[in-house]
Amino acid sequence: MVVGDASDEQLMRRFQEGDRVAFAALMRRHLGPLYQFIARHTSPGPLAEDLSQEVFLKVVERARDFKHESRFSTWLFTIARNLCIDTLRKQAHRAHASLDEPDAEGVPLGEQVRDEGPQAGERAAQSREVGARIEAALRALPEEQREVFLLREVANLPFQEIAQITGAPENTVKSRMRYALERLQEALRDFEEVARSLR
Amino acid sequence: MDCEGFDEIVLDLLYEDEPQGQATDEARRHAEGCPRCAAALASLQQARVQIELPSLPVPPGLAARILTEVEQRQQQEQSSWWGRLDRAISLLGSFAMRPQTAMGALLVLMTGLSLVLLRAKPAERGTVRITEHGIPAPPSPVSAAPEKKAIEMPSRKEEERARAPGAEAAPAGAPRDNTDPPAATQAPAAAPLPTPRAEVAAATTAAAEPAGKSDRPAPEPSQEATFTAAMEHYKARRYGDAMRAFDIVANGGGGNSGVAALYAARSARYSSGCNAALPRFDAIANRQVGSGAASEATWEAALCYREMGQGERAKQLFLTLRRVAGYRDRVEKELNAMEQRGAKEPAGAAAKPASP
Ligand SMILES: [Zn+2]
Repeated sequence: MVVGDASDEQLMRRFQEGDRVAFAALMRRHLGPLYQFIARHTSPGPLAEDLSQEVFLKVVERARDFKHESRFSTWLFTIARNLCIDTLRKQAHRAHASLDEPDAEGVPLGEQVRDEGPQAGERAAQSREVGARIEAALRALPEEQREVFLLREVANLPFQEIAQITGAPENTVKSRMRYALERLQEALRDFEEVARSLR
Repeated sequence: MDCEGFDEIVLDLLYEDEPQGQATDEARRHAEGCPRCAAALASLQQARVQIELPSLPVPPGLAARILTEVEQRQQQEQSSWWGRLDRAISLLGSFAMRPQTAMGALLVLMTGLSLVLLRAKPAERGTVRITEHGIPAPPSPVSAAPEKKAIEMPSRKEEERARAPGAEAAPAGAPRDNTDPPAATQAPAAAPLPTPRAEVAAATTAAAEPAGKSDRPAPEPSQEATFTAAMEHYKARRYGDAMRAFDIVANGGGGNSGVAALYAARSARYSSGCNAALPRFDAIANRQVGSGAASEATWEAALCYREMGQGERAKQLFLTLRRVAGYRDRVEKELNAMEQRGAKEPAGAAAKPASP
């Protein structure tokens, strides 16, 4: 199908010319990473759903302003990041919603992840635990490291784009990423040690 | 290159998506001869493998919800666009009609008609100009009301005069869209007329939109309200209530019926499980072939079949979605996961229905 093979920028051009199918394709292509980014940046559940929707509404609203000077993904995640930051500012307490305590309308991240598939058995339980641990460690990262990590690993954006989105020099972005990786690895190591000592 | 230079570039080595150039080659050579930097690179590579975030699936229905919302916003925008165009036409019209007015004035002078009659003309013109079908507006103020509202009359006073007695005036600043007309503002005696905006929307709305509402007359207000209420139930995870309310909208046949059917099926899944939801998903997929709702229903049906241990059926459905834009990556992921699970499990295990 033509839409499936088109680049983001081609789809965006088509949408700017009034092709709504192109918009639907763009939305579906990016919704997964975008939702993950937003859910992990703020909190999963209705808030992240509403914000994801808001991002795409802004894309529609501002489509005429997109001049193809950057990649579509850069633009999309810039909108998403700004929205997340605004929301977190307005609802500071949400940022501290822990893995085990659902916020007013959210569901604990661990639970959402658990919902996903018909995994069973000890191995699945263990991998869930590791996953939950990573989630917790991710939430504990300083804001600027977490966002770089998410943009890199969840949104799969190159550092150059992340630098544009965050407004930080590329080298700064890279060192934030490195710190994030090291901290997450450290947290995982601690967890494995504890797990081993309990066995 | 020294260790400091290596540290600056190590992330490029790790991700390999930057244009790999001379600097990265140098860094690689440096690591070969420097145990410290070799260890640093290895450790980061290990970290990337270990730190695998659990996948966080997009909540079912979010994509459809976004498309619906976008469509609604665009319709609202078109509505106000029509309003602006309408005013522009009005203004242009008044200029264009000037010679006629002059002629009329001359005629009036010649025939000795009163000037009062001539003054009545602009208001008449206003009424005729409104219809975008090229059909003069009906003379009855009652039947003219819905159309005027739909495309934002230039004169609110005129609009209020045209309304049926007792009808409530629209609150200032409230968004007025004919897809969402509050019951109180609709003149009760008026038959629902297709609005120009609905026709324009119909012409521009792509078939892929799941909420293909624009090619139909505006839904009954109560349906909109029911849909909103159903969505509230759904968000609050009251799936039983949500299902009943979505069913009402789905069976009403209005513009939201397609999306409502999908949400009803989802609600069924969350309240009663896949057994209850599957016939619904299948029905949507078969009834609305090619629509966003059908794709989404197919996706959910596939997940259900997989959950119920009917791997082959799930696979078939996943494969039909592989060609649909926006599903390819997800489908590949699911198929790979199924393949891996299949390889690990003893033969035949995948076909055995899982206990709910
Ligand atoms: Zn070195």
